Amino acid sequence: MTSIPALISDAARREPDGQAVLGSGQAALVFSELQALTERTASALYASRVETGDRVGLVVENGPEAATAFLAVSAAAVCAPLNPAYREAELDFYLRDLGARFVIVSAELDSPVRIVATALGIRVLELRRERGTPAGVFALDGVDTVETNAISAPIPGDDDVALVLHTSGTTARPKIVPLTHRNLCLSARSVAGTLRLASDDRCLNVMPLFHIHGLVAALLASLSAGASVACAPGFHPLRFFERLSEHEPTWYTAVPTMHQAVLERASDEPGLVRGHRLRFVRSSSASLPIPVLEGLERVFDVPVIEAYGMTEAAHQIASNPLPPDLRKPGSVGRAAGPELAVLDPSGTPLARGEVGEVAIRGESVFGGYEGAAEANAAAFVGTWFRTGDEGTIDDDGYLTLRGRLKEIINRGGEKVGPLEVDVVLAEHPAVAQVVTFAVPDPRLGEEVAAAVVLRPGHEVGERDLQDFAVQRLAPFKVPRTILFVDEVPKGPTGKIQRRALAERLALGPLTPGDAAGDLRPRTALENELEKIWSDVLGLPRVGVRDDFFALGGDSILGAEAIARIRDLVGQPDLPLISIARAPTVETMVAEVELGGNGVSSGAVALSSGGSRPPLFFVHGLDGDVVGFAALARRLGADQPFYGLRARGLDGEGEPPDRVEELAAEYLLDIRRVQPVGPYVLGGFCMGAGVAVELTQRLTDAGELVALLVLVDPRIGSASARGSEPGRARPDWRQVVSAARRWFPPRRTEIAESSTGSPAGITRQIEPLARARDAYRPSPVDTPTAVFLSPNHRGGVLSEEERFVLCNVVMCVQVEGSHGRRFHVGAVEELASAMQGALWDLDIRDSET
Amino acid sequence: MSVTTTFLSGPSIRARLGAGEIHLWHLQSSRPGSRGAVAAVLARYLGIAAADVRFTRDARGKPELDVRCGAAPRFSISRAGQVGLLAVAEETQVGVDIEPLGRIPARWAVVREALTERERSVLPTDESSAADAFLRSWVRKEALLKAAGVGLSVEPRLVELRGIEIVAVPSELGTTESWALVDLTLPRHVAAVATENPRAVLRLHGEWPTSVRPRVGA
Repeated sequence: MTSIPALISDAARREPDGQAVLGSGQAALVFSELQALTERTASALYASRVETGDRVGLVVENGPEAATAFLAVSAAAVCAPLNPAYREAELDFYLRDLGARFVIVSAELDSPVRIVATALGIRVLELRRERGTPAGVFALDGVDTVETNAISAPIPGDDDVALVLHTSGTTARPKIVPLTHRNLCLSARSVAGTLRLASDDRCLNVMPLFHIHGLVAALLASLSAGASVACAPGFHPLRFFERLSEHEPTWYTAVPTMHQAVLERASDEPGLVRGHRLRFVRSSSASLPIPVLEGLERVFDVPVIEAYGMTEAAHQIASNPLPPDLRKPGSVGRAAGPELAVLDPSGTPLARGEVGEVAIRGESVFGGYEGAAEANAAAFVGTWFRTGDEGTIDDDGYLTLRGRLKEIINRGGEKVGPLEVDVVLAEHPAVAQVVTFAVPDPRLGEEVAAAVVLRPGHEVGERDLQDFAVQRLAPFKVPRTILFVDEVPKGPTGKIQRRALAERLALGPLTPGDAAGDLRPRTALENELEKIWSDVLGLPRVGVRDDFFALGGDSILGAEAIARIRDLVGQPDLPLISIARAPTVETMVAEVELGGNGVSSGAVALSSGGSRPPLFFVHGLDGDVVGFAALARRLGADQPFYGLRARGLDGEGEPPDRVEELAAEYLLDIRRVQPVGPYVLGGFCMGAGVAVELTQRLTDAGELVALLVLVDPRIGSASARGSEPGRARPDWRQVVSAARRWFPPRRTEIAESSTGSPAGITRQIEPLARARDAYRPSPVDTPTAVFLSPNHRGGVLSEEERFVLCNVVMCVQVEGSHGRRFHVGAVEELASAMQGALWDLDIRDSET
Repeated sequence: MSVTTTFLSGPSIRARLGAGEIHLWHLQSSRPGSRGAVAAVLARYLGIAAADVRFTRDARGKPELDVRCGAAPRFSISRAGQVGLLAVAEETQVGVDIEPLGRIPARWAVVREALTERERSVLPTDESSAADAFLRSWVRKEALLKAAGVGLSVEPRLVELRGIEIVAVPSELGTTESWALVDLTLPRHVAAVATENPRAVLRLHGEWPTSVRPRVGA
């Protein structure tokens, strides 16, 4: 059976009532039903004039329907699964490049694909689930209603293309990889064979179903063996364990970063894995650090099977075997699908032990990139396909990879494989993640550098790591520079791109004026602003995220920049302080767009990029949000952060003195930025009360508030009575003058003061203080994370707050004082703690 | 404000602020961002070793004296390239600003935006002198706004000057009588010191190499 429909019908014949696809809280879909579903969907598509070679885009959230829709579409035409998180620009590119004629989109998914498809003349079919049906069952709206019983779609041939995927090109344009039924089914059978899958196996799939790993290794491999696959909506470090107990899988396959997250949780809480039914764990798509492999084997007490694959091979190329055969940590195993060789630059296979380019050939390997004659000419030599990876095969036939050929570091003629260095540094107990890469060197051409993410709480220096490495590696391989980073910058596909790391981490030839590729201006306004930045600062160019003041700007240059921006956007009242609030091109765009009549209030973008749901954070008693800029930065570039700023701070009247009125205004500000939920809200001090009120209003309007993040909350009447018995509330004038005495804000201070002008505080604080004192909140059951400074009311919630916040999922004390909560020195811990709460939002799937 | 020039030499000499005095120091440092130079000077006023001076950082990472250092004086810093100025005062608000000459061309928009109409009307006609005159005005206004601690939230053109005389100030700064300015001219820079005590005495302390030795007045 070397076509997908044949694979399914075969399984259905052998065990019609065997479980095939599972989902959460749904009945299992059995093979006979799966077969019926694919047949009737194929018929419906055929009746709608979908022809065998037509490209049908698939934009569906991860889960059982993504799996069954792929199977069904491939039975009639060519399936092109696309990331459901893609936005307009990406969808436009991919749909054009694929020449898609149809697109199937999940009816519940809010995606720009409908608009894009319509503009391109592509027909849109909506995929609809119905309550009560088994996992993966769906109906298509928009198909031509004909007697579908009367028509059956032609069955595809084994060599018809079933699936097209784009390679995640690191430097070059992504290329289309067409995979036939034969390619996919043979690869699936290889995986099933390696893992000895049987009908009583069950795979937990946490991988995306728009990349080859999940589609072949989890889905098709399982079905080919008559086994079942439980389709999770993606990978989530905490929910993973819930799914483990819900579905009781016998195995799962994932990428190393997911395994690392699982290992960390399981090590902290061994109870999470009690009673698991796993018989092995599989890893692929990137190199698995040996400590993670060993840790997983310890925690689950099962073998961890590392495998190697790529899209062009319909996934599996090599794999470590199950016991009693030998697993070699650090190796990706033996040939397990196509034929495997290591070639010299002319294309001649090398002997065992020699280092060269890994190459493959066989019936599971694709026939060539679509429409890329040059790339194919370069990639195929004779019958071999060059993988672009460097490696060596040992006497036992085990393949060890040394790194992507293009990423091999050429240090004065000596070649250093970055993977090899990664493996060594990863063994240091303080190292959580490491990526070795090349930096330019005037003498040697390239030198070895490494970016390291340390485990929390661990301190180690560059020297220590170099000493550690030199005991295990030849001296020329030891990184000359080690950078400690909070996270390794990933490329757009989530893969680490070593080649670009030197630029991204600002090493080597990069001067502050060189902007990295994806930080170039994207719109006309950004372009004009970038010109202002670079002109005023005297630099050839700047990136849209570069901080004006970090690049050498001061107050006089800032005043010049603002003068030019006023002119550019026709807003003569744009406040001078905007340059402090929005010191990057990116944030200034938001500033001028919200400026309107020059009064900057409402939702101020303190960090506007990123794919996470935005956090809307309400001001404290001073009404301002400039103080949150440091926090916004430390939450990471992937977390958009909007400060909700009070009206009336720029001398134009006063803010309202009722929480309900504040919330009504901010609701509009929020909706302007994000029209529909789910929402993530938060607030500081009295802002926490406003955030609670906002939650009520949004919930009443039918929106979902996914999370509330409160810092030193002061909600409700308890705050009016003061914190400790017998202590009189300080007079606000005393507090303000004390602040002025010790911390006079400077003229050239930048966006991170949490107090405005002293005059501003005395004038504005009173209405907001009255608002806070008068507020009588109702309980909310939104999941709430609370962060408390130890000196803020003793670091505990008041009784009333505990009554109002019904669903506190996290409540932690964070070192730092209430008065300097967002200042450098205290904000870092708060940011770390908040990231923990924000990360728990299961919005994004990881990619292969 | 009257100005005297005194020079306290030697690293270990204790410095003391007399009533109504403002001390101005030149910060010797090859790295304009270093706190070591500021610590060394402030230590003299605190009577502790320079290494024991504790700064907390404000939100931007700029140093402020940790309250545990005891009753600390007010201070204001301004740097332009290699030249740094540090003004220290007991209870009075103080602000200092310095700019290198020739940095800002007269055609720049900030020249229009930071000056009032009247101030613009008295600028010299030739470009180079106009640019210098603008910088002179800028450092006076900056010093004043720094002393008032208002940050970038007050537009410089809301302050009107006629030479060193303060003609108009916005409400955040109180009245024109509450403030005093003094000009300093260095070989290649202009600077100004502002204080809220019109009867303050400005003393120049420490080492002032010839390349940075100021003359009082425009």
